[in-house]
Amino acid sequence: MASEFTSTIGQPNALSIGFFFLFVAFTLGVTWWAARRSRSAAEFYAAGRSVTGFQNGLALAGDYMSAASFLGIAGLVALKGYDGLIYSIGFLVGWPVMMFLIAEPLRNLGKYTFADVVAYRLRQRPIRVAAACGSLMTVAFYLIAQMVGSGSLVHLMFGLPYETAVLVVGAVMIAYVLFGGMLATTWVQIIKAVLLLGGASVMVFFVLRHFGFSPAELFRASAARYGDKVLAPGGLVSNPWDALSLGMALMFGTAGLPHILMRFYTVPDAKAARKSVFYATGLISYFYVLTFIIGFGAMTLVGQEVVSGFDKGGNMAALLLAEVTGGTMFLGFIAAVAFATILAVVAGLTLAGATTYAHDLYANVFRRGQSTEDDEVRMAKRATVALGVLAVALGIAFKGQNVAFMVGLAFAIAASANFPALLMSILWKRFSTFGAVCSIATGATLAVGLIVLSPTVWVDVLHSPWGMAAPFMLKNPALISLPAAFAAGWLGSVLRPEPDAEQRYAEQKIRNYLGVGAE
Amino acid sequence: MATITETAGTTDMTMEAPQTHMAPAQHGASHLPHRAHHHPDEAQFAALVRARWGVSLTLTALMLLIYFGFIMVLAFRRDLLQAPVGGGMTLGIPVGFGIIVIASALTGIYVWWANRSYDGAVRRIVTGMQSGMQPGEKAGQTMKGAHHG
Repeated sequence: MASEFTSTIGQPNALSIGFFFLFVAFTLGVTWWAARRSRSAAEFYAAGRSVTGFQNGLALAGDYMSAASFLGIAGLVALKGYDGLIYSIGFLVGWPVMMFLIAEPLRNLGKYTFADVVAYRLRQRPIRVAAACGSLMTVAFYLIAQMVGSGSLVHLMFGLPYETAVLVVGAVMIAYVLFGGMLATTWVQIIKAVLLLGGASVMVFFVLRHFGFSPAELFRASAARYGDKVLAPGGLVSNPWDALSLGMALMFGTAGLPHILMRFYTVPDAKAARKSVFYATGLISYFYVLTFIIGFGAMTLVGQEVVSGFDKGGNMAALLLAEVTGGTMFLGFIAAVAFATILAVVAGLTLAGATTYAHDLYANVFRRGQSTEDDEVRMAKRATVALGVLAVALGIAFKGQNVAFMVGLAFAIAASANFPALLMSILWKRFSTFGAVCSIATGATLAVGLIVLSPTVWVDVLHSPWGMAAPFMLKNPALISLPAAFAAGWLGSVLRPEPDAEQRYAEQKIRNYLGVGAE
Repeated sequence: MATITETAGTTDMTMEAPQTHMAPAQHGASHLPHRAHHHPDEAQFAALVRARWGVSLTLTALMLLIYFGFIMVLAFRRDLLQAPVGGGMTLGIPVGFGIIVIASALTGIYVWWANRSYDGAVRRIVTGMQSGMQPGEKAGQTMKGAHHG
């Protein structure tokens, strides 16, 4: 049945462009509403701490469910079957860990960025510089991956030129963040999360209707067509060390992503922060279950040959399935949702980057804590524009490049540079400024250095310079860089202890566990 | 002696960044201990911190064990997950979905525990700290944010 099917994907689709404009118009309306509530620093960075636990759960899910994970994982499942699920699980398990270790201390101790927590009892300037480097590197790699992905996806979906797509994404995203700050960004995430979860649910309903609403029937049909192998793990996890290293990056990296961590400051207190992770984890779990079924639906109802014919990586699987099950109208809707998803994710990243610059670097390093709130917000807005323009420029510069490694790298940096310093500053009394800087520097340097020497970049991107095999054999560096960051933090603190900071630990604990004095 | 207070300093905490009220100028100004505070009951507070990390580290360890266990089975005994279980499915599918459900359930357990036990303990300790304060202090202000743990 699938072989005779011809798709309208790749042609400008009036319906999807209409849906997309509707989304943009509505969210810009929200931005206009939010603009009047985004003047002070607490409003611009943290939506005035007025977001409820459930809303923040939706927004966290919106921040995390990127177009890459929706289209990419559905495609992976469509082409490889079960292995796609392994991938989803990896992206999910970081959430409980973040809740158990980080969420509440972060909310109680910080103000706008995770560097607030690390710098709580340590020396401001060295910590802020180091933490800002870790943050900005994470944001930059994640952002480049998203921009390049968005350009190619929009090009594939609508037939729009790559550069135009990147420009549109950049311009709308700047408008959200610049005028609406965290409040607009939060509502864009919430709307997008609802649309994405809703659209995917409808698609799963359409798919299961073909199989008498029995997922088992769907799996049986897939196995009948492509063999039992699609229902069992294949070659995705063959080298245990590789799997372990990637697993560590995903598990601990989630707890080090600046745009995710920043969301915990939008809720009123630690109790709401904790609640929001619970909702986010549930929503993301549900989303991954949906993508798994969508993947199998595409495999069976569209056919692997058709899916890989449109895009070798399978990225069009979900869209093809939308067209097969729901016609052009549903395709238009899902394509618009995918575009909206890209916008929301890049808006969250840009806001995190701008906050890091204005709050950590400008206010606490350049102005040594002497700037006013207005100065800080002005700087954050300038940084938003600069970062948005940079994102568009990099998106265009990296056109056609292999940037798949950048998400893995962003997670590796988050897990190695951000997470160890954050955890040690919360849990270890003797953690010192020197230790923190050593930890962040070691984690960031090793994560970037080793990935360049790894097969991921050395072979796949640089094509083995001088005919040499990759000097570092793991595809993701976290297995080495994360423990090394902890070791460096310990060694630095032992070598250069800080009695002042040790004394302040008692006070930090009171605020951390009792919430006394929390922002 | 146990209830040395510094009303101004603690009140500031609610509105200022940590770095500003930790300025070195504050200590040395008197013979008061550094960052004098309404101290929580030592034993209660230590028990609270112990319970908090007891629960969260146990749950973290469980999550790590399940996930890395799954990865190791994938790496070394993939055939286990290829085993058919009725209905045309392989063991891998229920196991995979099971991990997703467990991950969500663990966060649910933590929230349940924290709502039921941790928040109450925090409230008791904070109330104890307030009652140890001298009359005339702006308890409502200094304890802002405290009631929700």
